Amino acid sequence: MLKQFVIFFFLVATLAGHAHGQQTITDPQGLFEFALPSGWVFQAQQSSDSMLVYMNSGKDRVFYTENRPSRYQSLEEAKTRILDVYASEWGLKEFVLLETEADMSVDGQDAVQICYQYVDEHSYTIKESRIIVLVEDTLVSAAAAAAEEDTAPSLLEDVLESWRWLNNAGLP
Amino acid sequence: MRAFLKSARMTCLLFLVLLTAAGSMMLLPAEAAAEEQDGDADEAELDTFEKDVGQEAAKQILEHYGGEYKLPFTEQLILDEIFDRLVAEAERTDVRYSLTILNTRVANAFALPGGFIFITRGLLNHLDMDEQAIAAVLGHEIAHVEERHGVKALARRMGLTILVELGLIFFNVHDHEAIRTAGAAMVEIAQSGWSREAEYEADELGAELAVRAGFDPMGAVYAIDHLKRLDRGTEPLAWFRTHPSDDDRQSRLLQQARSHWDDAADSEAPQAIPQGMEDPRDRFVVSDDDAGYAQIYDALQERYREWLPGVQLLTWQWHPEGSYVALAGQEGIWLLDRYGRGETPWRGRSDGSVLEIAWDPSGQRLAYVLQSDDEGAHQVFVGYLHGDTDLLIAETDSLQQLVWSDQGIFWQKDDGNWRRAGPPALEPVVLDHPVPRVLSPTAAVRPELSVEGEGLDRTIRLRRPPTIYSNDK
Repeated sequence: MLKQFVIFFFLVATLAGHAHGQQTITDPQGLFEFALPSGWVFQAQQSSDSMLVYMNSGKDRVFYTENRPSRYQSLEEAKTRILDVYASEWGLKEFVLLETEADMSVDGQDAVQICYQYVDEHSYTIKESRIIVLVEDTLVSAAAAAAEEDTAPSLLEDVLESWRWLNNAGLP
Repeated sequence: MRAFLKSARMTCLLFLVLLTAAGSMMLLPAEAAAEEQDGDADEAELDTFEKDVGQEAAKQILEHYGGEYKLPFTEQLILDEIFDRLVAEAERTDVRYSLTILNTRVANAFALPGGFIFITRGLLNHLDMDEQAIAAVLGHEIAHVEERHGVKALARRMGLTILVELGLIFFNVHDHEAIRTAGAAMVEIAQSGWSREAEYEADELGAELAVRAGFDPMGAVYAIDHLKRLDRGTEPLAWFRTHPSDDDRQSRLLQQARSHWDDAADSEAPQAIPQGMEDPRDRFVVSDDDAGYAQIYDALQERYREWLPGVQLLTWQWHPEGSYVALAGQEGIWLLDRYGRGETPWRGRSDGSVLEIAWDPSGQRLAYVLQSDDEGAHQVFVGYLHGDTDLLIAETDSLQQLVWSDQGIFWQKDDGNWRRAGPPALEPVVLDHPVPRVLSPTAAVRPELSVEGEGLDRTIRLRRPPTIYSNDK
């Protein structure tokens, strides 16, 4: 029932947004909202109440957000642990860290951005740009990935410009 | 003979240490405070001994089973999450738990002293990434360490049982040869299995750990179901050989799972009653004809489907998302998907008549009411779609209807009153350091083509990958 509600909600949001050339996406847990250009299609099968997945029709591009409870003490600790896992022996294949940006904010919240590439199971090189934010006890992450294109960072930047924290994020 | 001599040497060594420990028991009162401190030191020595033996045994296990196996990235994240959630609920603070996947198709899992847990790729493969079942197996193995079954079994092998259990042994043994011998004995013990009592104890504590970590207590029952389905003649299933009888364990685990449900009690009527007899996607119409046989009308193609010819329907209910329809007949319950597939009963129940069916709101479980052939009590069962064993949650003397809502399972009796039983409230453990998942865009948009057969019999299948999680290795 919850999944049906989520799907219905996003269908309505998507249709409403298309009229203006973009769609406003609201996190089902009420933590944040952001805008995506039209042409991005909600992936109901891969999404849940803590993960939203969108794909760009016709192109190998994906945008997704994920929020999970955590007890990281700092953004630096979160970034280090995440990069360690991705780069570990069993992590992402041929992982290369391209860039990190620590001094940034997303709608007033401190954030870090990491850009990296890896090779997926179809032997495509994927470039991914990911933003990480700690909101109280929740780790919020948004990522844009593209196959053999350099469009991921710019898409993420566009999305972050429209990003707004909502009441359930518990921010002052 | 050499092993015997080694074992004898180890026993002598431990015995000498034991004499020292026994001597230290006869202390003057003035030495009592010092003795208390020594007690802490003894415990630390015991922990060190346990870890050293475990480490030595772990090396030997890795060599014996062809080394470590690396899972694909996302599967590893899922496995780590399950393991970390269980470890977060473990009580021993002196143990640092680690999980290693062994590269063998033999289906097995081990626990070694010191927190070294092993699961084989063969067992993971059979469990089919069913997280409840994996949590049950790992919880069981962690429980062996929590209960110090390894050290106790080792001591038993050395003839020092009672003294270890009373905590009277001072293990000041750092001799490498002794550790190596104890490690070899430990490998033998882990492979041949613990005592029956230790296995039952690990089952019970493992299931509790799993529940505390937010997993369904039925996971252990379904882990056994998964393994029972395999052809034991062709598949190497060591986990069965080293454990007590499946049926006995399953019946104990079922009782334990039942204890996590609320007992049936009088209740208000449920707030909403699902219209489960109608297809949520408005395509198929299920009914029974004058003789009671199933009729399925396809409104899109405007024709009847012959999905269950010759089956007399008692009742039916659609899955909340319309993925399946559950139909109850004289021989049990069928689950048909939207292509009409599912010709054998999901649950054969020739011991009575299924009167009512209700899906849980998530669509993963089905409750049904069975009335025995002698028209005795009505029994309310719950079963998972992919499990083979059902949980009896209540009995009632009469029944009008069955409803499963967010508040639990409700049934209305002939007198119009409602009763309710609630499933366990599971609260997942918060992981200290979660790592965001990585989705690969190409996995979603590139369907796989496969060609089967030749000539006119050739079939071309277009398969879209089921998930877009990156699966790199």
